[in-house]
Parts: sequence; structure tokens; C-alpha cells
Amino acid sequence: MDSALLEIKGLHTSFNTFDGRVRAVDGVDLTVHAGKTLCVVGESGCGKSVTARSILRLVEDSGSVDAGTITWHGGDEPFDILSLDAKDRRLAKLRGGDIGMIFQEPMASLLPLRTIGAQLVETIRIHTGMGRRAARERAIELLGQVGIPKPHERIDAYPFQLSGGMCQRAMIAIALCANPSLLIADEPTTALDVTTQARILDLIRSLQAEHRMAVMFITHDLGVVAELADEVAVMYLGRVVERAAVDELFADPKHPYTKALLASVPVLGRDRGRDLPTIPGAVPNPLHRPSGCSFHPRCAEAVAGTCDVEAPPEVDFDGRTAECVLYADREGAAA
Amino acid sequence: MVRYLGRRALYMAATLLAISLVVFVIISLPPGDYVTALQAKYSVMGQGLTESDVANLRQRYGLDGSLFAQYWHWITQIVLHGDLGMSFEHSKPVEDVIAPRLGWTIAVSLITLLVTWALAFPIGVYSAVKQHSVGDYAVTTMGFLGLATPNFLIALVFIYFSVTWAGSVPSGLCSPEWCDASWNLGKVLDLLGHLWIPMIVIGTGGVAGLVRIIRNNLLDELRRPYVTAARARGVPEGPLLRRYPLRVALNPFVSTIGWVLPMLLVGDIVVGQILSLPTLGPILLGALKAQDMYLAGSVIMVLSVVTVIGTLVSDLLLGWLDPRIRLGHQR
Repeated sequence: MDSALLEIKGLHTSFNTFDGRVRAVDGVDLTVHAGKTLCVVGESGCGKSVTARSILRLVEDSGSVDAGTITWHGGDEPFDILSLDAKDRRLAKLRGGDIGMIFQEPMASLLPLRTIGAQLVETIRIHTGMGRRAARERAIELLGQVGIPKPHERIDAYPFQLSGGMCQRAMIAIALCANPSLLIADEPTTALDVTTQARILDLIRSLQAEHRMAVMFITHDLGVVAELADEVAVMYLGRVVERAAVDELFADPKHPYTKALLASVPVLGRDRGRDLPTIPGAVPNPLHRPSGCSFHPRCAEAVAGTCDVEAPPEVDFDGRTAECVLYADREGAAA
Repeated sequence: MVRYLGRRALYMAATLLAISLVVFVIISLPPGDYVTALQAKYSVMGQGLTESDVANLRQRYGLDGSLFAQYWHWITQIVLHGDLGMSFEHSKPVEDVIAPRLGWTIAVSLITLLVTWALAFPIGVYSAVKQHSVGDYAVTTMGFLGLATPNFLIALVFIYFSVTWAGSVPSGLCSPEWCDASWNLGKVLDLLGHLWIPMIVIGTGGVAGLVRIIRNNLLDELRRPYVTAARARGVPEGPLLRRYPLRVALNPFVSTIGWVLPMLLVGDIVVGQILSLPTLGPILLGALKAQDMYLAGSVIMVLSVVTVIGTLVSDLLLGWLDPRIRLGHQR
């Protein structure tokens, strides 16, 4: 097994809302291995973005990380990111230095009033201490690397003068400026059209190979997962319900939710003229979490008297896990 | 850029012409004119005016023609000779009535404006960044009170306390012994001693309003994705605030210049009256009461010019600040 780069254990993040405290992330365990791609997949509101934001301590004021540890193994010695002081230099070095991050809406993630060059040069100078001129040279080089044509001209363009795809490339250039060992991509292609999406994915893949960095890719698109992932974590209502290597997951999904998700992926040719299978019901409001297993009201295989009463155990299948009562009697199950 | 400015200047001229027409018509709308007002004044003093007196006066003031003829006379004089006409009430040229006050008005206004900005900006930023803190609640409450209290009430409260405690009414901008003196240190000190009162009175409302504008804008901006993104790439909090959300939050601040300028010029009419400030506000009020139409029209025209110029200035500033405005939506 490769060495762990980032280890999330028992992460709880919740938000104060008008209706009460919402537990957006409710006990997540994840590991990102050096050089590998972990895809976190799930429906909207399942807590995947909040998990990503918790890593770099980007949760807004109304929310807070209540419990858990996030251990970073990329430095000289491992440390818990969550226990760092807000002014700790290690946190400043992580943000944009060791960990680069790109977001869902590339246009909105860049300040429209400053050129992409200004925002890129600023980040380069923060993390490398380069002079203005050297940083600009480096910025042009980076923009070229991420496939922006005529980088020496585009460096002085404002975000609103570029397309969404170009803005995302600029964001990637910013994320890469200090050669990070981990890139967190929070649904980076959701706001882009399909052809642009494919190009951005190709770019991320080739950059990953080139820089030998790990990628934590957050998406709700199983097609993207199949294309990119080494490992997959499926999230539902703030918990990781299944974790497996990508080929195992697609070949033999264990958790009923994963099965239902995979069944609802359209297949070209096969599905012509018939309705796609869907998961019945809707994602419950996290304020009123169903008792027991939070998926049981929508689950086809739910066991009455068990699933609606007690939380399902995490079952270990030699390196992959699923949180479901169906496998509870397996050997090695942690009840 | 030159073409842009030229086009703007042309629009400005057209706007001003339209304003002048409307202003003139509205001023002449109430029944009667300056002579009727004069007649009423004399009859109060027990001196009736005969019909022929009235007719003579009308002719002397040029009030016997049609409304359009009067307007034409007034506007051509302004455009061709820069002559704003005669003030009936003060029986001297309008320029001579306005000019000495204009300097004071601008001085008081500018100082108030600068102090207002200097106070409002840091307070607004503080209360947005430290939202839900004790300081924020204090500022918001004070701002609410400041906005809700009419300025003239604050002025009256000031006068009440200065009479009960100091035994004198702080009126005008200078004490009688200094008013006609030439400029020296004593007069400046005396001026400063008077200036703080209108500044506080006019300034409270302005500060409260601006604090709210800045606070709300900044709160909106602080939640934008670009702030999170900048934080994620390691921009330290101080520069982050200055270089990202504050720059965007400045926009509405700048666009207020257009309407803040004329408001400052009239000062607050009622406050100017109560504190007997030598600003344009009280003059305008007097002119309207006496139906002194050339004077009233000219004051309003001066204000309109300032408004239009203020708008142009804020447009240019916005263009300089915000590339989205400067560059339009070109790709």
C-alpha cells in the first residue's frame, strides 16, 4: 500500500442555521495516498464539499469543525491540521503551498477586478518569495503549462474576458504554483460544458502524472469517477458509506446506495426508450436525520426492525469498507 | 477617452437644459410672482400699493411678458453672458448673492464629507469583519439611531444644551468680532470652534448611512467564492481583505459621490436655517418664499450642475476602479 498523505478521522463539521444545527459532515474517515486519486462522490448536500473545505479550514463562520483529526503526512513530521492555531505558519504553507485547491465556479473564484496575472503572481510571491519580475515569468510559464494559448497576453486579461474553461485553467495554474503534493478539486467541471469538462479532466490527469501529486476529486458524476479515480469514497448524508478501489466499486458495489447510484447511470444504447432507474424518495433534510441507517427509507434492501433502529456497522472487506447491516455477520466486522 | 468625455459633455448640456426648463416652470407654477409677494409684504406694513405702482414694478422686473419669454430671457443671459439675473429680494445680481456663500458652502461640505468618510469607512469595515461582535451591535444600533433622528432635531438639541450650559447660541460659522476680520490664526481657531457643530449635526446622518452601505456591501462580498479561493491559496487575512472584498465594496461608495455632492452643497436646508449657517440652503428657502424666481432658479441650476458633474466624476472613478465597467463586455 502506498503511504498515506492525508488522513481524515472522525470528522464532524456542522453549521448553525435558522432551524438549528445541521451536521453536514457526521463522522467521516478518509485517506488520500501520495500520488493517487481519491474521488469523493455523492449527491448534493451529502457533505463532500464541506469535507474538502474542512481540510484547509475554509469552513465559514456559521459552521465549525466539532471533532476529528486531519493528519498531514506531507511535511517533515505529521501534524493535525485541525489543531493548528489560525496564525500557524504550517497552515499558511499548506494553503496554496502543499495543497492546491480549485473550485466549482471558476469565474466566481477569481476576483473580477484584478487580472488573472495579478492573482497568480500574488500567490507565487507568497509561496516562493520570488521578485515581481521572476514571478511574472513563472506565471506566464504556468499559464502555458495549463494550456492557455498566448499566455504572455492572457496574463493581463481580466477573468470576465475569459471563458469558464480558461478561468478554471487559470485557477489550476494558481493551485499548481508551488508544486503542491495534493490537489483538492471541488467539482471543478460542474459549471463547464461537456467538451470543456473533458479537456479539464485530461489536463488534471496529465498534470498529476507530471507533478506526481495526489488528487482529491469531489464530484457527483460517476463517469468522471470511472475515468480519474484510483480509489472512491461514496458519501451519503455526511457519512462515507462505501470505500473501495475504483474497479472493485464498479464491478461489485456492496452498499445498496452505491448499487442504486450505479444502476441509475445511463448506458448508451441499452437505455434507449425506457426510463432510467432512479432512487426513490429524496435526500432527507439533515436536520431530521432518519433513525438508524440514514439511507433506510430509500433502501430497497432495508431490514425492518434493524435498519431503522440501529446505526449500521462499518464492515471491512480486505481493504475496502461498506457501512451496511447486510454484511454485519461477515468476519472481521466491527460492530 | 476624449470621445467618451465629449459625448458625456453633450449629454450633460442637454440634461442641464431640460432641468432648467422644468425648474423654471415649477418655480413659476404657484399663483402670483415677486410683485404679489411684495404687495403682501407692504400691506402687512400698512402701505398699500396702487395699481399703477404694481404695473410699474412688473414692468421694471420684466414680469409682464409670457412665462416662455421670461425663461428665454433668463436662459440666454446665462448661456451667452454668464449672467444669472437679478435677485429681486436682495436687489443685487444673483452672482453676488450666491458667490460669497458658495465658498463657505463648499468648505463646510467638503470638510463634512471628508470627516464623514474618514469615520464611516473604518467603522463600516470593522462592523462587517467582526459581524455579531459586541462592537458590531453597538455600531449598528448607533447607526440606526443616527439615521432615524432627523438632523434638525440634533441641531435643536445642540442649541438647547449650549444655551443651558454655555448661555449662548452657537450660530453661524464665526463669532461677530471675527466675521469681518481678515484671515489670521484667531479667525481660523474661531472658525474651527464653530465648525464642529454643523459637522456633527450634518455628519451623524451621513456617517450612519455610509456605515450601513459599507457594512452591507462588505458582508455580501465576504461570502463570495473568490474570498474562499484566495484564502485557500494562502493569501494572508489582512491583504486578503484589502485586495479582494474591499475593492469591490468600494464601488457603491464611489457611486454615492454623485448625489452626496449636491446634498452637501445645500447643506441641510433646515439645519442651515436653525444654525444660521452661511450656506446656500437658507438662501434657497428664502428665495422660494419670496418667489424670487431668478435667485431660486439659479441656486437650483448651480446644484444641478454640481449633481451632473458629481455623476460624471463618480462614473469616471468607477471606470478607473472597475475594469468590468471600463472594458464593457468585450471578449
